[in-house]
This record gives sequence, C-alpha cells and structure tokens, in this order.
Amino acid sequence: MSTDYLVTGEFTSIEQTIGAVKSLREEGLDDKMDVYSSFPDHHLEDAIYEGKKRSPVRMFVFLGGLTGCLGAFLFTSWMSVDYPLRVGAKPLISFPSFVIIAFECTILLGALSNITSMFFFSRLPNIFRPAGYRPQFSAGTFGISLRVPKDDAEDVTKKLESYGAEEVEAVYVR
Amino acid sequence: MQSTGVIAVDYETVNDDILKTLEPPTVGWYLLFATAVCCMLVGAYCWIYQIMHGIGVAGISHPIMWGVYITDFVFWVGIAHSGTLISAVLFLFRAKWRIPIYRVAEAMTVFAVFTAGLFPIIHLGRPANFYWLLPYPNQRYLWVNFKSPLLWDVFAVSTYLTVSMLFFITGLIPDIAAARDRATGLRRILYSVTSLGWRGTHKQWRHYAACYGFFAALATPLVLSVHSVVSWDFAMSNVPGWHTTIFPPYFVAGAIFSGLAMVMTITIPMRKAFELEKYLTIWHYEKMSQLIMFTSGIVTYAYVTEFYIAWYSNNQFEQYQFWFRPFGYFAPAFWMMIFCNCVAPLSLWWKKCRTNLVWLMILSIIINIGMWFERFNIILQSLTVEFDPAAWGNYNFSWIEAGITLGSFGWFFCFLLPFIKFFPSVSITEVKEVVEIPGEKH
Repeated sequence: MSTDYLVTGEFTSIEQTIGAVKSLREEGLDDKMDVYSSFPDHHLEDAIYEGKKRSPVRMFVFLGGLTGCLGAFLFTSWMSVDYPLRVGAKPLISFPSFVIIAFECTILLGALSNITSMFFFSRLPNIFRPAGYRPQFSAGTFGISLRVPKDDAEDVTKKLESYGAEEVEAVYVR
Repeated sequence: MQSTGVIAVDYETVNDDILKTLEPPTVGWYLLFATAVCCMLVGAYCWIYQIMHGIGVAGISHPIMWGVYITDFVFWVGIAHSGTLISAVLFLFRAKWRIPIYRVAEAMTVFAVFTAGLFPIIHLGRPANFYWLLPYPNQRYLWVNFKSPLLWDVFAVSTYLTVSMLFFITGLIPDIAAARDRATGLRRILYSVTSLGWRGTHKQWRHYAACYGFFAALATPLVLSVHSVVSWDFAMSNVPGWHTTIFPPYFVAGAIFSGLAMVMTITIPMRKAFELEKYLTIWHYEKMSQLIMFTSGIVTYAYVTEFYIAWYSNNQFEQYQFWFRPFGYFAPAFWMMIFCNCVAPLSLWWKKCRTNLVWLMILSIIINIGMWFERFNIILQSLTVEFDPAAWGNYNFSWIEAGITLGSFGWFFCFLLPFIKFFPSVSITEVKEVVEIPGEKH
C-alpha cells in the first residue's frame, strides 16, 4: 500500500498553466501530472507533448479504413458470384461499381474504429470521478494534479503555489 | 469589432451564456413544439392511411413512379449536407466563422438524414420489407445487386447517417460535461450518463483532438460522395433530363445551397430567442450569405448547362424534355425554381441585404422552396415526357403526399426543438478556442 497524495492546484490563466507545465516537465514530474482544461489549446498541448509520441488513434483509423475497403471488395465479389445476377452484359465481378460500396465501407469502418479507439485511449465511458477533478475545470479555470509520495506533498504544494496556482489542496489517495 | 466576428468574453461567461439556453422552455417553445407534433401526427395519419389502402393513394402512377416522396428524400438529404460542410470541410479549412453555427448545423444534418431515411421506406409498397435492401444472409441465399445505384444509395445514406451521428456525439461530449458540472437533479443524471464521464484531462484531449480531426477528414469526402450517389440514382438511368454527367457536382452544390439556407432559417430565430447575438454576429451571417451566393451561382450555371447540352446533343428526346420544362404543363414549377434559386439570391450582392437578418430569413425560406421545386422538376418533369408520346402521362398530387411532406417537417422539428433545450446548441469548447479574453493578449 502506497501512501500517495494527490496535489491539485487551480490556475486562472492559460499562460500560467503553460508556464507551470513547462517547469514541471523540467523537473521530470510530468508523468505523474494530470492537466485539466475545458478546451483543447495548441500551446498547452505543445507544452505537454513536445517531443513525445503522437496519439495512436491514427493507426486505428487507418486499420479500420483498410479493413472496410478490402472487406467490401471481398464481400461484394463473393456475393456477386454466390448469387449471380447478370446485369447489362457486365462481368459478374465489376469493380467500378464495387468501388462505391468499398469507399462507403472504408469511411464507415474508419469512423467506427476512430471513435472506438478514442474511447479506449481516453478511458471512456468512465463512471469514477478522479479525486483531483473540480467542476470549475469545465467552466473557466485550468487545473494541474500531481500524484506524489506523502513526504513530497508539502513541497509540491509550495511549488504549485509558486507557479501561480490557487486553492492548492492535497488529498490522500490509494 | 462586430464586423470581424471577434468574440470578446472570458471563459466563464461563455459557459454562462451558452448553458442559459438550457433553461426551462418558454411558452413560445411549447407552441412551436406543439405545432411540430401536430404536423407529425398529420404525416403519421397519412402514412397509416397509405399502408391500409395501398400505395395507390399517393399520386404516383405510370409513367411517373417516382413522385413527391423521392423529391422529399432528395430535399432532406440535401438539407443535411451543409451541416457536414460546416462541421467538417470548414474545420479542415480552419474557417473561424463556422464555430458558433456548427453544432446546430450538425444537429440539423443528423435529424435531416433521419427524415430523409423515412422516404424511401414510405415509398415502398411494402414498407415492412425495407430490410431486403441490405445484404443479409437469408434462407434463399439471395444477395443484393451491387451494380444498382439504388443499392449504392443504401450504403451511402446509412454510412452518412452513422458517421454524422458519431461526429455529432463526439463534438457534444465535452460540452455535456460542462453542462453536467452545473446541473442538478434529473438533468445531472442525464448529463452524467451522456457525457460518459468526460473530465478534460490532457490525455483525453490529446486523443480527442486526433479523433476529431480524423472525423473531419473522413466526413469531407463522404459528404461529397453522398449527394453524388443520390444523383446517380437518376444519372445512371437513360431517362432524358436525368442521364447527364453534370449531376454529381450540380447536386452537391444544390445540397449545400439549400442546407445553408436551412441553417439560416433555424439560427436566426434561435439567436434572437436565446440572446446569442454576442456569439452569432452579423459577420457570421455575411459569410454564410457569401457561400449562398457562390453555390447559387453554381446551381444557375448547371441549369444553363443542362439547356445548352440538350440543344448541343441534337437528341430529340433530350431537346423535347428541355422545351417541356419551361413551357409544358409543369412550367410554374420551373419558373418558381428559377426565381427562388437564381434571381432572389442575387439580392445578396448588396451588403445591405447580406446584413439584414429579416431579409435573410425570408430569403432562406424562398431558397428552400426553390430547392424543393428543383428536385420536383428533375424527377417529375423528366418522367412525365420520356420517349414514346403514347406513354406520356400526368401527375396527380394527392393530399396524402402533401400530408406526409408536412409531417416530415413536423418530424424534423420534433427532434430539433428538444435538442436545443436539452443540449448546448452552440459549441462551448470551440467558442473558447477563439474568444479573446478582455484585457489579455492571447
């Protein structure tokens, strides 16, 4: 059983938040950090993720799209042979008309795997409320939560306050 | 600073102003909703009447087997398109004027596809068998005909419905979370469930932003393809007046034209009722007007090209069709279309008209009427006089069709009106990305 503390501070301006994130990264505390904001901001995202890997969602969109495209060509061809309908003296397997079905299935499966992978990586749906979350974070303020061992809690609290955080609170988490 | 569309408020005010739209509805809203329900019931009655007495009660009969129902179908699919244009295409182009209108435009897309999807089913003689359109394993080992444009349409419209719904829901999640944090009682439960526990951590935003971008990238080719596929329902046949290669771009432009008009019809009263003047400025309407002018130009060009090609083709059936449209017995519908889609939007060349919301409201309704008649002309006029004069016919518009058309508007607003009262109809998240905090340089 670890005895960790979750230290959460609230920032009113985005510049302060970005500054705090940068300082925390320099100190190597960023993997214990959660940054809350009510909208995605490019500067904030750059500050957090600079030099790190991009979201893996893209890979799943590609795989979903590819599956849709190949799958559609396969099932249209197979079904056209399985139940032969000779239309307009065209070959049974006429790719030009299957392209449309394949295109739609590419988009459909790409979109489905897009949203599924986003839900998976963002841990949605999530019925638990994180200890550091405050309702104000969805309104106008920004928040930084850090999970630290008990002995460091006081230190980190002071640190966050020095970056401009207000209402810094440390709570015990398991 | 209104002329450039700058929104100068702080983050908290954005939440206050937009979440205010979720307050209990006024008498006006109840009256509108009651009207919508009544219209829907008229439509439901007519459909039940048609199911009980057979498809013959509609005006369709040989040679005009595609009538008002297919006109309504194309009309509603067209309405849907500008929602995706605004939410996806303009997102990729980083057009800032889309931000305050895109949520309601997307809602309009989803509900318009709900409405459009009903019409092919209503048009069926045996609506209960609609699932025969899908390739599903069945006892007789029958598969559908993948070479038929009608089947392409099934795939296109159902993909479009699914993707635009998912895109819409994705955009809503963070906003519902914002609503959740203020709500109490039953609403809090509703928003807690529908926000899926969104907290807005940096990890969530990172995947969310990627997901949103990919949705826009997937929806952009989709929106262009869907109305192209709808146009192939006609263009793939050899009926004079249908068999043209210009149809896909012509239909897509027409769809965006009518959809933008519908966005105006919905947002102008909404802006007034919800006091959203700060977010939906005249500048936004001017931008929409300019896009309407542009698409009206494309549509007018397509009308002229159709006539030119009919003459140039030297094909007597094609030529007769295009003589019949302006001078035959459906001539009023043709001239109505010309007035509504080509002449009336010319007023937007004057800045005074582009910035006058009363005129824009009237014009948007005129355009929607015009676009309905465009589809009427394409579908009914072409079928009326095909090849053999002995097989020409006339169309008897029946009260059942009128009732179902009215019902479709009721059905559409039965979704839209509760939506704007239960969920944020302006995107809180995206507005915050562009606001300029007073007294702060961002």
